[in-house]
Amino acid sequence: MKIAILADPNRKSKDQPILAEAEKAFGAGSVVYAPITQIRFDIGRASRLSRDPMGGISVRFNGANLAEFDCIIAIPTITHSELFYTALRMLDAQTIPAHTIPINAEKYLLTMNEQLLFNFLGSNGLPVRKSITVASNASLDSVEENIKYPVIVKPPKKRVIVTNKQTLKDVISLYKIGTPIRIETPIKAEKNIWVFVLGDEVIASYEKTGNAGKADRPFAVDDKLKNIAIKARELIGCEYCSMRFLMQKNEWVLDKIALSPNFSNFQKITGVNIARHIVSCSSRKFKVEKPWWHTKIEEFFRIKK
Amino acid sequence: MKGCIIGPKIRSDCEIWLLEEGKKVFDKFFYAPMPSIVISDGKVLFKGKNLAELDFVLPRIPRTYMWFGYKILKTLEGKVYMPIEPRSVIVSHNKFLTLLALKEAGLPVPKTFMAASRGTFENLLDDMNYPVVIKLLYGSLGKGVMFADSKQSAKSLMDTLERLKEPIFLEEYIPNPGEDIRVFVLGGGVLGAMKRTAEKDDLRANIGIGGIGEPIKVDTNMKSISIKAADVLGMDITGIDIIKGPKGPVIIEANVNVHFEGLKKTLGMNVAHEIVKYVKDEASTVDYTTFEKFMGWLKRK
Repeated sequence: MKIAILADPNRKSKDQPILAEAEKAFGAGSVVYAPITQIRFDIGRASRLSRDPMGGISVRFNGANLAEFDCIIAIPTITHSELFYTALRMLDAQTIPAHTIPINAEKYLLTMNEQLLFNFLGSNGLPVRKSITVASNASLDSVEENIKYPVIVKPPKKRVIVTNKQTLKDVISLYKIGTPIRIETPIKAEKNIWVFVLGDEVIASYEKTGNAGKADRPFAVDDKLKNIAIKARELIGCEYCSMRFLMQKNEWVLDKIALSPNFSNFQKITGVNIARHIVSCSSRKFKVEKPWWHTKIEEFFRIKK
Repeated sequence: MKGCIIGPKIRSDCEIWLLEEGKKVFDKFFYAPMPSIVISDGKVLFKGKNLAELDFVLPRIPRTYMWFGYKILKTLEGKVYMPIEPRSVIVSHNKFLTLLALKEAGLPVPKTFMAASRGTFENLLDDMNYPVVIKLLYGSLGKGVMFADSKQSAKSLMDTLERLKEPIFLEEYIPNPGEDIRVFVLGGGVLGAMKRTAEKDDLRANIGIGGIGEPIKVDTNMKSISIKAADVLGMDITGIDIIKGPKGPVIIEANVNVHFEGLKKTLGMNVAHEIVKYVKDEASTVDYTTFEKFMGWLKRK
């Protein structure tokens, strides 16, 4: 069995737990860590020596075609979201689609856009963070009455607190024209909870105390929170993800969804090794979804090295 | 019938023509520049008005507004008629994703290779047959297209492009006499086509950089691949760029924000009028109350 971990090289140290668990489960020689920035995307065969039923659509790392791996564990990040989308798209497009967890390309496209994702989850009855999105400060006047300062401004990969209209305009003007920028009202949260959901279970959860004197601590989710988390995962269509919930006036608000969980934090605080759960998920997916004829077809089409 | 054009702040000639033609035909037709649009609570608002209350929107979304445009169209999806799918904005602006989608559908495209790091690209250069074409992932109007006749010149170009910090990809060079064919597809049919010939000593035939256009009648095969390309990419209105290679036509690009000044000049056709007429016919045939309900049900499934 061969497993590839498709990840962002900037978080290599954070991904060590999953690499270690995969090597433990499948053997060090069977696991490849493939940074997305070193992936080669081919449409068409560069070399006449390769045979590929898709006529040369391949995602390669160090010459190896990722579609030949038994499972690909993707840990996508915002920084390289377009590359991850392209890779997932190409892996989905194979004659025999590669087994990629936790998500396929089309569902990943939704998670790349938080506003759209939260609109979608909200329209399905989940309590989500409200926000507005603009691409220029020219539109601020039309929503001025709906903006109560301070606000949190979220351009891509950043988060800034702004206390007045002029500063808001100045912050937005710093970004390239057309950049979508979200504006949210801060929540004075009574609780700040991270959960990790895999399938129909909340595997681990902890509370961030945000208090220098108090450590973050494990948190027991109630049925209400569990149901929201599981429903969110089902709607997103991923095998697993981590989520942040804020409690406001005794009600939960879904604040963030991440497909690249902080393995170490979950383990350190809750004692639950989520990396091990993810690796088990990868082998379960392989065993359940590959009937015998499937394996035969794969062998027939497999590129001989 | 009420609708709007969603486009950039500065209108090109095409947007101006569309606006002129639309005002003759629709009860209400206006221009909604994207800098003035807000997405809030699942609604797309322009000057406080919800665009979902219109019958249609005509997107003219340039690359700089790609992601914001995608969010706008995705939020409006199923509520108003639009002649392109939201994903078309992402796929068609990204030249690599365009070629991927076309290749998946069995359409002829050049061999294309992409990487995100210099080291991976350099390894790729050893596998290439020269000359090669080096393109910016998000170029337009012929800009961002370079030719390298050897591995060394490819490396020099990449050294320069690295400074721009823009993603690039490599494409096989399809031999051609400095000309390509722009096929304008509208509503599942070919409205017109023109042959574009590059200026002397240039291999790029775009009108915007000095190419010359002349009318051309495309054969059945080229018509068929253009129409299929538009369908695969989810666009009722698009320009498909084709090169006649030694082994047959090859699609090199699809344009989600197609400019048609050249077509108007070359064919003498009122393209804006044809587009407006098509949109009016399409927008009046779909019952968005039922469609919206169906889409909502589909999403929940």
